[in-house]
Amino acid sequence: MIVFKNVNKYYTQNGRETKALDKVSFKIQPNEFVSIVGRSGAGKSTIVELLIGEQKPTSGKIFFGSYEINKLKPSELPEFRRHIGVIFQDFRLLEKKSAFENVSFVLEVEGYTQREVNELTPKVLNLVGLKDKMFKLPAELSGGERQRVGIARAMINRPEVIIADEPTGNLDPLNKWEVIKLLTKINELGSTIILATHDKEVINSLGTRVITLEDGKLTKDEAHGKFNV
Amino acid sequence: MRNKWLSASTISIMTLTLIVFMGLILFNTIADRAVETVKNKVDISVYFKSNVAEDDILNIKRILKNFDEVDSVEYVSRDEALVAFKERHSEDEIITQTLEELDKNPLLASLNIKAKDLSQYEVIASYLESDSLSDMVEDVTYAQNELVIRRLETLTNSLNIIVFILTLFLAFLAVMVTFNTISLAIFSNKEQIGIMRVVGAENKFIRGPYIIEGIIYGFIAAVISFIVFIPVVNAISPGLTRFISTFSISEYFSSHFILLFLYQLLIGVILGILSSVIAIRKYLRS
Repeated sequence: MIVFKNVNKYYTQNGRETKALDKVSFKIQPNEFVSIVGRSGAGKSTIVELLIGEQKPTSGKIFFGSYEINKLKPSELPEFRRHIGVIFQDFRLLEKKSAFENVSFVLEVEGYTQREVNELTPKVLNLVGLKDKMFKLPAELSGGERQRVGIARAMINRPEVIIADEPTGNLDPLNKWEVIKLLTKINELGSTIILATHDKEVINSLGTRVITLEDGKLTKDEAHGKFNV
Repeated sequence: MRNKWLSASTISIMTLTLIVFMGLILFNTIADRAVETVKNKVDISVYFKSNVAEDDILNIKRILKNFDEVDSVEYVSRDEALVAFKERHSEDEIITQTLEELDKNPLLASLNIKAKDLSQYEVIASYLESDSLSDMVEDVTYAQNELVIRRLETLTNSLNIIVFILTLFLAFLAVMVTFNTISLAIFSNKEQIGIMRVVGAENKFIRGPYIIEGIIYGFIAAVISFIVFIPVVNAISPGLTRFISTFSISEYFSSHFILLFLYQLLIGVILGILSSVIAIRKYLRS
């Protein structure tokens, strides 16, 4: 379970303080599909960064299962991050590695044997429809294909939670729905999905829980929400 | 190698650094040999009155040999001094004639003493000039040598300090330049490092390839700097031997070839590892 308890996050730039999150509290149960919505600058990305330990809250507590994320030491972060798969809007692939290597890298980091790596990676790439392109470099793939590599990388080690930060932001409509379909499929397989987006069409079609943020404040938390900010 | 140009510039800077290091090693060796040569030419001579018996002089020689400061003592009898004097002036007819006209040997017996260090001549001189020996000693040449000894001492001390400071300064400069070049190489990969961190890679996993890269740079730079030095040493060797006849830099280079190469390799690899570790540290902080 993920718990945000009275989380505040302020950024100071040029002596001016900006409130990115203002007393945000919510809980996410295992296997939920939750969308975090809001306009640009509402605080969606801050929530993602706090969840993966890239940022620390100014005040408040964040729990992920037995971990209190804000209290994790730098040396504990790598192990913690292996419980979460992250999908980015800009894909963030290792440009000099093939699709196969980008995905298998996660397993190598976790100490899987070469045999396990060679067995698991093609399976997952097949699941996202990239079996024929697994040895291509990111530059040789289309945007939709690159995002599918990102999804395969996020799910390869079967993390409890997958966070997708604007995963459809750089995709055409066809690829957008492909990605959403994949996320739904992964959710059905047992992973919790947290989708940060400002895409109304996607949210309204999903019919799942929606947390709405406005100027860093949580304004709505609805079980079958719609995006109507 | 992540980027050809950055790799080439890193190797170039490291090669230059290693050339400077090697230059300093050889400069230190040459300076040591030059000082040693001059030092060997410095000694202190004590001349004994003509009535002093040879046994008494040999007794003083024994006492001097037991001094911690004394490196060697050579006894030159009156006859030996005369033979050497004649040999030295064999082409000077006036001196040869004058010596033949004299019915006795005008030269005095002496002890030529070499100290272990330039600073120790004063201790030896003060013993030779002490009251206990004043009846036997005609002259001690320390006074004449004193100025040369003092100047040489100051020169060698200053030279050592200057070389040491220069070495430290250049070493610091080299580390900074190499570190910055490797930093630049790592900076161009900072996004990749960020991705590795997000997927849960431990620092040692991320650092590994960069350290190996640093080692490879250091190794290549050591080999290149050594290849550059071989013709340079051969070119300067004849000129240098004219100044220090007892020392040949090319012979020194060939006889210490493996040691010098290992030294270069060690410095290169350490420089590569250190620069990589320091440069990547910034990107591994959470």
